[in-house]
Amino acid sequence: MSATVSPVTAQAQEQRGTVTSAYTLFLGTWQIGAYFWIAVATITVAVAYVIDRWGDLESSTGDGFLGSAPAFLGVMGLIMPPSILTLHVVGGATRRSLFRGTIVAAVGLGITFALLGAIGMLVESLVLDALDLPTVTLDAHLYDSSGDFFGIWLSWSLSGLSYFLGGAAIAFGYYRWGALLGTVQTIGVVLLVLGADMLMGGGPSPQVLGGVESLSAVLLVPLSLLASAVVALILYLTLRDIPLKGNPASS
Amino acid sequence: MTTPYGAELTDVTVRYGRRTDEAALDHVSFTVRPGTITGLLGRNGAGKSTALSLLASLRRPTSGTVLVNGVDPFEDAVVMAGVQLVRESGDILGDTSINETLGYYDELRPHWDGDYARALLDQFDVDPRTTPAKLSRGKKSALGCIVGLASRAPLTIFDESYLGMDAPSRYAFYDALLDDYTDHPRTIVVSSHLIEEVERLFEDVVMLHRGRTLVSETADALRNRAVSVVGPSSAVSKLADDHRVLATRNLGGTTQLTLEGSLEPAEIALARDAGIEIARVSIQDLFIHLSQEPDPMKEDAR
Repeated sequence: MSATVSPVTAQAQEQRGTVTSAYTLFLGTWQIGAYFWIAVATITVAVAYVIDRWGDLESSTGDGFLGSAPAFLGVMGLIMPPSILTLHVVGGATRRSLFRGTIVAAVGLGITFALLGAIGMLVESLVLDALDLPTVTLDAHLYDSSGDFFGIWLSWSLSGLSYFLGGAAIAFGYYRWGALLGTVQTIGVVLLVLGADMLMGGGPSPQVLGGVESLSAVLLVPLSLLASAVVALILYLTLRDIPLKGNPASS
Repeated sequence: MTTPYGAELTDVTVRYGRRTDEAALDHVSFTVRPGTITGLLGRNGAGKSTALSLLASLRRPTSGTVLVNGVDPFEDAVVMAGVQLVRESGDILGDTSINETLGYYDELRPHWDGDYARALLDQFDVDPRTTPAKLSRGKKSALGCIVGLASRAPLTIFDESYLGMDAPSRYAFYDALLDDYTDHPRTIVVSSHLIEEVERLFEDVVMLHRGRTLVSETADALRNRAVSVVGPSSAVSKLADDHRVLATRNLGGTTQLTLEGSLEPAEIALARDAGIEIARVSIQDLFIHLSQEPDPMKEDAR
């Protein structure tokens, strides 16, 4: 048996796998994400109206509801990459390219979800300003009002990135290692993701766990990126030679 | 035009999880010649799907060597792009349209033929706008077969992938497979329980039994391993004296024997004089006989 020259190059094929998986993960998440945004936008407006109608609106409501976008990306990270794993490999692409595609999708989803969230917060600040209501946000470290567009965009982008990667790392951990070791991996990943979230002040966890307020933004951003990089490394080590489950319909 | 891939398993063992006492494959070796249709046969649990999953890089072997087109296929981007495994489970996106699943294959497969895929969808009456979750088992099987054919992969593997289809659809698939194999030569491996239906396709046959290689040879060589004789019981019994009898069937005064090996010209002449009919044994019959025998490896070890 001898090797033959193929017109397919490894680089081109890796690129196919990366682009295809990234596109599928990005588009698939946004298809479901559209419903998420409709829901949280409606809730944000409704809660703000109810508080203002029957109480005193003292801070942004969007920061809590629109700011849950990273957590939503965490859930989608649990669902989406594992759902295409078998199709991807059986379709002739490498696990490496799925890993790269997941990274690309996570970055794209983090940025675009955060962008839409930041736009929503900007709209909220304009409305609250017009109504002479406070736009202040609580707990966040890179922004202090719902009108701080770029601070919100950056903060939620980084949180969304770590949440999506964390979700994927947890799902593949259980797929590969089973219940016991999968749970061990989950604990490590959750600590990293929540750590990154606490640093940024984005997402829901700072309200629960408190923030790290003494660090400057110059340190917060690279530390958050470092935590995401460690999560990405765990994802890579889990995925790089993951054995696929057998054919349940066959012997 | 694709260059067919060959494949080779050498002394391959696969053990799942902690059940180290039981190997799914136990020092298996066989070769798939490039540009042939090879039948991979074996009873339930023989290790067929495990062997095929190695060729498709779904997992690594516990030990031994797997080569596809001369190299280890695992995470080799070029080789993996040229191997298409079709399983009965489908390996499809269940909750989105069939168009999206086919689009995914289209993006990944360098030799994918979209026009051919659409023609096959029409032929097998599969609506690409619906979701696979809404399809019957037969239509899902047909979808898998469409993926395998349209992939034009240099090594295309069908692992029990058409069992859910009804008989007319299965025969339409066999015809489509042969037509496409003629027009676009490649290496095809077919694993099936429906041996009688597909054995006419096979050029080579590999049989696995209890995780071990039982047979790995050309279909013709396998068919020559035994011969069937039918005739008056006394004449047939006399003819069987110098042969090992693999199977016996009696009907009144008539007996059918499956004899190991082939008959000498003198024996053929005697048989004809005695009114005995001589026929080739089907691969299915040989498979049944061979897989019912005691494990030859264990026999050797005694």
